[in-house]
Amino acid sequence: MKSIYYSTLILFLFALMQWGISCSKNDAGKGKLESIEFPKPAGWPDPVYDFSSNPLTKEGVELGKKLFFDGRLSKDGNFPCVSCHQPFAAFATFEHDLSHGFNDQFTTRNAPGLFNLAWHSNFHHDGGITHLDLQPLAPITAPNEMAETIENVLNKLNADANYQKEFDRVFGSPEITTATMTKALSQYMLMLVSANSKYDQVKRGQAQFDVNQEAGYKIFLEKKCNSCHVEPLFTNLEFMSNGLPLNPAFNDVGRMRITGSKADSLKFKVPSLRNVALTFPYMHDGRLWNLEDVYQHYNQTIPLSAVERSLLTEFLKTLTDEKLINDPFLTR
Amino acid sequence: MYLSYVRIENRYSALTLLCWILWILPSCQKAGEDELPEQANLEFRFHPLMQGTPISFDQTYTLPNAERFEPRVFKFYSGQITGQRVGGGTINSTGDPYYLADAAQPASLIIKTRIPAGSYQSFQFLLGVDSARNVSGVQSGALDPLQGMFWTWNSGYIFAKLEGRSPDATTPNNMVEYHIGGFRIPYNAAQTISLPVSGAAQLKAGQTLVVDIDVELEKWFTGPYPLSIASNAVSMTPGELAWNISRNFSGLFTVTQSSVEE
Repeated sequence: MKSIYYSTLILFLFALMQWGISCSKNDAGKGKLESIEFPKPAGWPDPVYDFSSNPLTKEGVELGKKLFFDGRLSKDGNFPCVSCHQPFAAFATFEHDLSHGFNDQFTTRNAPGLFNLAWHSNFHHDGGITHLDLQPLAPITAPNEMAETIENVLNKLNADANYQKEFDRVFGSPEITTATMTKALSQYMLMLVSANSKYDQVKRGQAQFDVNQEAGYKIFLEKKCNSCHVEPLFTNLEFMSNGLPLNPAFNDVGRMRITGSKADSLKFKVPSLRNVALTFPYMHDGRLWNLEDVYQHYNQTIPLSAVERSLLTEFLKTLTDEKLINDPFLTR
Repeated sequence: MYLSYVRIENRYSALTLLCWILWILPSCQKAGEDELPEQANLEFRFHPLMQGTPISFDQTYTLPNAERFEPRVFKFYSGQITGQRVGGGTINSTGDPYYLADAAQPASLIIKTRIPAGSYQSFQFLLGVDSARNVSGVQSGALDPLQGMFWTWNSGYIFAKLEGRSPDATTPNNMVEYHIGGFRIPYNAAQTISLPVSGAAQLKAGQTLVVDIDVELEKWFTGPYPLSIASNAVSMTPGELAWNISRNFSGLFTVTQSSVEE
């Protein structure tokens, strides 16, 4: 009877060990994570990002933010994501037509503001990138931007015990891989939701436009600016040509570079007008310095009087989202 | 012998039973997959050749069109392996793995997968990566973008890479760089490669069918799209040229031998 007792006990201990080993991977870190529900604004379309493949957690978003601000993602340490995507410029590069990259180089396009990315199914002005998780790999490896290799970035991050601990907690494995690094970055970028401008407050009945803003909104609708800049995202997310001629400095043919189709020549993704007061200069290559230049460019197709221009500008300023650019959780 | 305890009626028997359940539970799922009956193994062995001999990376070869070429890098993706049974029926390999073959890494030239036992007359694989995997985020393993076979600015895999030098190339440093990929219609450069096996391969459960495949690199330049280094030494983007070059790919692969091993 005693031998049965002991062997049963030993068996029980082994069973517990086995149980423990097989379960630790799934449950250990995750039990402590604080999950976040994606803050989809009421009445907005459904986001396209597949959150089931990358469930949002407070810790995951914070890890993504840390990576976004970390210079080690670039070759010489000087070019974290945030160097070109500055919170105070709605995550565009403030007052720059082109951004600066490794070794005093310029980028070839204007850095777009980063917000409401969960509604985008492709990225870059030409839509060449097919998934938000893939997006960071482009600036990281571009020789004129962060100029690093994916392998080097992962080596640098894996050499940092704190990062390993945090990745273990969020993704259940201390080893940082391309997939987990980009998922963490996505978690952060997905949380950059811009839906708290004065315009949004007016729509929610929490504020009122002043007379100029109201008049500007009417002009926006009457002149059919909203045929491309569709509310509530203020973009239809499509590729359009707005008549800008080819810039011979870059020979950038836009969407055609991706599809190879002549029909897509000089088409670029319609940018959102949200936070437009912060994201100047404008157009894919930043060639138009201010809104006045933009109105001038559209003068052939959408002529506006001086009064209309200034009223429209008053409305566009209501699209600035102070909460997004000042949120301590998102902007450090 | 442990089983006998279960039959003994004593106050430990229930505990023993519990232990057995605890012991077995965590491994249940895996065991189920492994015990699929009738599974056999399929092994492709790729042999990259130039002019009939194993490719050498420090040699200048003369191509059929008299142009010269010194290869440096040759890599390609394979996946979606299927087998055609004698008497009809297509069988998919187990799982849906992808493999990255690199001529400089001999171990990467042998790929192993599992298929149901049976009698096979030919096999096929996709030289490239299916379009779904080009658009569904960051993949891992052989398809991890850090393998250097991924275009970051135009999401998509480089299906095959052939690099080297040629005095006939008019590029800086006489570089020859063919990065072939692209999943968008009409220039989808992923090509299905057919590998007929001589006779019918009769494969029993647990056995391994080894298929030796010559990969004749000079045929990269010949076939439906005769490729000249002097006129096209570089293809670095998806599109018509990449697709045209990919049309030559099926000509590269020839089964030289297939044998069943226990």
